Amino acid sequence: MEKVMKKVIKTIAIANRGEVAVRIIKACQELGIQTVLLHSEADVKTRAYRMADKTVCIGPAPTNESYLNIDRNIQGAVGAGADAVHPGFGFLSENADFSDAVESAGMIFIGPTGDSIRKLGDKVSCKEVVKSLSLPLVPGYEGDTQNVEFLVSQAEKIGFPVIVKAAAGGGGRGMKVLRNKEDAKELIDSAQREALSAFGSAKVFLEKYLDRAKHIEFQIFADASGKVRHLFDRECSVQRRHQKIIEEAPSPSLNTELREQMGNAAVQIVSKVGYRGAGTVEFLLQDGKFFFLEVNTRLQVEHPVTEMISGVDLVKMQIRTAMGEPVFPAEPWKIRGHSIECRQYAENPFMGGIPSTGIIGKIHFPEGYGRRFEYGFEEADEVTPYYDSMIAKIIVWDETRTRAIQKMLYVLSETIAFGVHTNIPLLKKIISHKEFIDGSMTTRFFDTHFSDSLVKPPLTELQKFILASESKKGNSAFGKLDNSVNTNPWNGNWRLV
Amino acid sequence: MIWSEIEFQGKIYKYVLQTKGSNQWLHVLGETVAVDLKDAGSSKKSRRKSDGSSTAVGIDAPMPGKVTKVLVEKNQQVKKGTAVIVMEAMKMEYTLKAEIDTTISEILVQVGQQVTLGQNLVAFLMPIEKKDESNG
Repeated sequence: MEKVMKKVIKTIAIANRGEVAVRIIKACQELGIQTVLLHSEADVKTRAYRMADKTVCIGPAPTNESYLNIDRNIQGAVGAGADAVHPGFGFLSENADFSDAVESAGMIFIGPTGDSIRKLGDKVSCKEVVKSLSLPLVPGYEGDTQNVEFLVSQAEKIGFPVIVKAAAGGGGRGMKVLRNKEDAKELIDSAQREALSAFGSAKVFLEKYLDRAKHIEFQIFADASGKVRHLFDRECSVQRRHQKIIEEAPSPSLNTELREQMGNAAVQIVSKVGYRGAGTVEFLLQDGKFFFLEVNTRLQVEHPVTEMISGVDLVKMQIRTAMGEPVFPAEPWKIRGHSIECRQYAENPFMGGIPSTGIIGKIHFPEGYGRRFEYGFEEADEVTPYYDSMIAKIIVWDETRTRAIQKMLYVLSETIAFGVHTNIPLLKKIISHKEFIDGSMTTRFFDTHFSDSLVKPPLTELQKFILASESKKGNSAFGKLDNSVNTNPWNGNWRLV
Repeated sequence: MIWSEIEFQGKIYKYVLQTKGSNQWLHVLGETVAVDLKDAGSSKKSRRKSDGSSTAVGIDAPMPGKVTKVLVEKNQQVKKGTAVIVMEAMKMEYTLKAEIDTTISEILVQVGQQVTLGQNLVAFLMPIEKKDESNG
């Protein structure tokens, strides 16, 4: 156990946007810490901008000129007098060079060291760590040779289906499933391009694609002294194109024994590299066996469900750890109840999920006990096409999984968002599906049952009546709702970049 | 949130309604609907707008975003299903394909260009086969 130096943090610069920037600001407010928002030109009319104590525009909307630009973030933070930088998730949060640059500039990076990120965050080198611990890995290829023909031959060796992934980041970007030799070259090419665009590195690796696996991840935390503990598991099997849509804690699929084995494995892996702060170890669980997938060396989008079942505040823990404070309680954490999170995306579920941008109209979240909403936009703010389409997270907690599902269904129905289309109708269908309710869903669940667009129902008599009566009041007469088009213009033609 | 009330078939219902531009947004009985006021009467036009992609005359942008790849050249003959343009928006890459066998007449955008919803991207020459487009 290292001797821990206490550090003073009076001002934190937030190198992120949207709902996570709001989340970090709230934690800072509660700790009496000043906040500086490092934002792009497209994020001025946002909740985080209004809440921050100071704001610094670090560039135009495109991410490589703003949120992905290390120099601009550093200059912005230093110029505003920040003692520390919180990178949120995505963007530069798993960029080892950024972590190093923050420290070199005399500030504290709220996250692990560049060295830990290199060892664990790189999706390839972390496998070496896992191998050294004799823990189970998904079979694959992680070599330096990146020549496409060679990768295709490696894929053949592993045996199709094979998944190709970006070494430098996650979130579904730069990921493709190869099912045969014929399509493999084009898909690998595409994955390398997407990886370069999303993370600044075209390096990819290959893994055997487990086609009826559950995605189970463990929240780990390393305190200022280097001690590592886990805060249980989450299941994130509801994914579309490897992008999570719904997450929950704890997983309905783990028994006590598996939870203990996997939790211990997660702690062992992270303990090997001198880690600090929050991280997540991801596994695939298939036929009762678990396989290490990757480590995310950052706070994750779905962290709220862990907070809801364990009673912790992970962001405050991150900040206090960066200040050298102890954060682990004397008694072990316990799981209480069940929590589910739905990601609200600005997209039209009746047109195959095509992105929806525009000015937000009335927005309303039905507050209540065991209901939590993380959102970055309010009425009159604009959802732009420059960033991913998640506009809010809708989280519930209840005493059992069944009650949590029931509560979520109610909360989704009572959530109002005008001005942009959102995926709420799709979310409701998903959590009402038998396979979700009985917890048997695998990562194939979404593609199997929801690959076709939802069909827009015709207006009901009540809806028509209300619209007509509003028009009599002097609002514009409503036109025919276009029922003729239930096309899915995406038809498998879209993928994450 | 301030709800309005209305009586319909003997019962009172709470709802929220807002007009934004040419759309009316309504939330009642746990569902949100958006009605495009411009759609009144012209189903042909609205089909083209909401479908937004390929028709007999060309390809329009189905969403606002950026053109990232132009995969064809002027005067190139393409078959149905050929990838013509790749767009990006909200971190998703979308490949626009020709819906008929045709010839590229004009490429109206360049790589890197930001486009708006419905903007014409590529024009086709008169199609080789005249298709009977039923616009429902």
